[in-house]
Amino acid sequence: MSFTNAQIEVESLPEFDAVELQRLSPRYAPLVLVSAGCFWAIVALGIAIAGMVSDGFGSTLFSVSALPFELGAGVLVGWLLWVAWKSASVIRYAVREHDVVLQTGIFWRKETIQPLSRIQHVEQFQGPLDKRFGLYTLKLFSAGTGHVTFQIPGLDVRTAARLKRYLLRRIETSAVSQSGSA
Amino acid sequence: MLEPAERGPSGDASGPADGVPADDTPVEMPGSPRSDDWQRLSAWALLHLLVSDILRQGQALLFGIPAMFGVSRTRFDELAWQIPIAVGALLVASALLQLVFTRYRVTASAVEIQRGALFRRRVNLSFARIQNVKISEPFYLRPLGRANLSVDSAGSAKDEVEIAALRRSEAESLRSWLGAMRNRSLERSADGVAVADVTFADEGVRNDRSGAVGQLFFTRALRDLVIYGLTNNRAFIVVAAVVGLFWQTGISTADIVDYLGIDFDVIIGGLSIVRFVIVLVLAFVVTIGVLALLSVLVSIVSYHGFAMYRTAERLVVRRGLINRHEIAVRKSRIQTVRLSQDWLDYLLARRNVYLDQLTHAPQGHPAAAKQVMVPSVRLAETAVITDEIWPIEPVENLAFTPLSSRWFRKHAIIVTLLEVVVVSFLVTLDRLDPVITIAAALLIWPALIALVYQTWRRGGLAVVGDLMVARSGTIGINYRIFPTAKLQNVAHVQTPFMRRRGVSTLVFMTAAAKITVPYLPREFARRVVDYCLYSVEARPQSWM
Repeated sequence: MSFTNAQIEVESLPEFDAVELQRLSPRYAPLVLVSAGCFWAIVALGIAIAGMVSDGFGSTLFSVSALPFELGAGVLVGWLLWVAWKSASVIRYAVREHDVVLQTGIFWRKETIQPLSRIQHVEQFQGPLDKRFGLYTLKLFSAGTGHVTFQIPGLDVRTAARLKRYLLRRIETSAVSQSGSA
Repeated sequence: MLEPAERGPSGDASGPADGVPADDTPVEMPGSPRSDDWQRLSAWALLHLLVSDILRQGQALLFGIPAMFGVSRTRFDELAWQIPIAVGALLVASALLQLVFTRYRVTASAVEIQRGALFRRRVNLSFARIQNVKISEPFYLRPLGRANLSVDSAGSAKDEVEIAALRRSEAESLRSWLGAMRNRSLERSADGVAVADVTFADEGVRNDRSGAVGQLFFTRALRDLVIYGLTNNRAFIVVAAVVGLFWQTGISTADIVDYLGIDFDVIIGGLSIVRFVIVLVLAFVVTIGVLALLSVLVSIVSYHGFAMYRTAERLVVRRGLINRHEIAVRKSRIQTVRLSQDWLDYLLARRNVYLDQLTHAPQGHPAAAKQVMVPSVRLAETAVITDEIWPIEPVENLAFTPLSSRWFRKHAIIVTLLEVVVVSFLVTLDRLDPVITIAAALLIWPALIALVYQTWRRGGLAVVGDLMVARSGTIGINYRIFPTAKLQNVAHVQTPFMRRRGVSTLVFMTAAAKITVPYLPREFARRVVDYCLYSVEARPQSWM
């Protein structure tokens, strides 16, 4: 292999933000809404039960003066549910030859690019609620940190399987094409 | 062995030449362990699962003891004995569930394990990523002739596959087979060379066969250690531990004071305001002095006789007064070099050099103690250390792209608002004279803004060939040096406000740490991202 050290024209490098991003399954945002809704329903139920069981707490909870606070809390929860739904529906992803791009966030719009050669392993995850909606999450683990830095949720069975298969194949043969042609 | 000509563009390196299909259908290999459908763990694995659960929850379980004690003092004392029984039953039930819902299989390209009922998690560890295949025989499995097989990769701690309680012979044949499969996969991939010669679990106390560790090139004298002790708050760790102990035993400071025979009422009641303030200041100074002394002592004990040796591939650090530590670091494993400097270091023109490696070992884990830190390095001496790893011109001379002034504006506003909130709160409390409070706040404000300004000026990013240097700090200046090749992934973050102003934040993820550089000019940030991706993807270099 001959050694070359050509100048890199930075302007001519592929641009990470020129990709066409794909949406997740349309069932994902409802799934997130349902799971957040369940969570808050349980919390509300817990508080109501506590109010019924304990006399002191109950009298404050069910009194008229507590109503504005409860309405306020209700509005807050409503807003949180909206945020959960919106953040879920805003997620986009794209797969390129050498990396995967993930776009998340409503206010803090974040594009994370994960080079395929740095993926250690891929995990396919399905929570109990995901099963009802028929969706999977693909978690890509890179080295260090110990927790997931990249996950694509809301994928239906076929997309998840295809994507996982592609990623696994690319992981094993990460830079073969470059070195093979050198 | 595959010739280069047989490798197709899609990277499907396994043609009929070696009979291994490229997809992940399970395959029966001649002489291989049974690798077809999902297999369950043997019943004996229950033992191992139980023990490892107990060990993992150990800390939490210890709280059960004071809990039992507490309950036995109440009128529910008969229930006290039911606590350990309940806990035991829970542990057994949990281990049983794990046993039933764990399956594993070995396919043509990976070893897979699936656990969980409610939250099903499948871990796929492809052969090329395997670092270590370890067989361990805990004492409770040894008499049964069984062993645990754990396969780990260089990735996060979660991607370890552990198959518990296999028959010893099964474990051994699986291990050698996996090793062979790994070597075969490595032959296909370009970064195979670097991956193959790393044995993950070898960090730490180990001497070369010859006994020599390399050429001595850097030491620290006692003076340096004293300075390090003074500039670092290691004493707080000791103090926190002592306080924690006291708190747990239920002795309060009031009890201590009584025991010592000090009566505050008598002392303070008789003092005038001036003397009271003097006593307070003295007490403060004495406390600081004691803490500083403690800190220096801890520093000396940890770093006495600090000596760093070098070979072509490794750095070895020896240090310690009572416990002698020897830490060997392979240079290629270093992910980032951190030059950290707090305000005291800045005044004394010193910095601490951290050589960061993979950090997925959680705090307290033995591997965490193997972090390499060179204490109290003079600014001009820094190059002696960094030259061993990644030669770079002195960081002070680099040209940094600064953070946008938007950052300063945003944080100045935040700080001001915070101060207003705190002052309003204090004023409404009505304990102190509102005039004095507001006057003090007005006096402090310029100082706070100056600190925000300094933090803004300190921030920046420099690109030096293949190295990135991120600068930060308030009074002291911190540098984070890492090669683009060590990046695991990179993220670009923008709020709508930032988009309008043409700035973005970059988040670099290395295997050691996450490095955030906020409010960079958007065009520059974009080009940096594209360049980093090119660097990682186009030139196959191992980050290990």
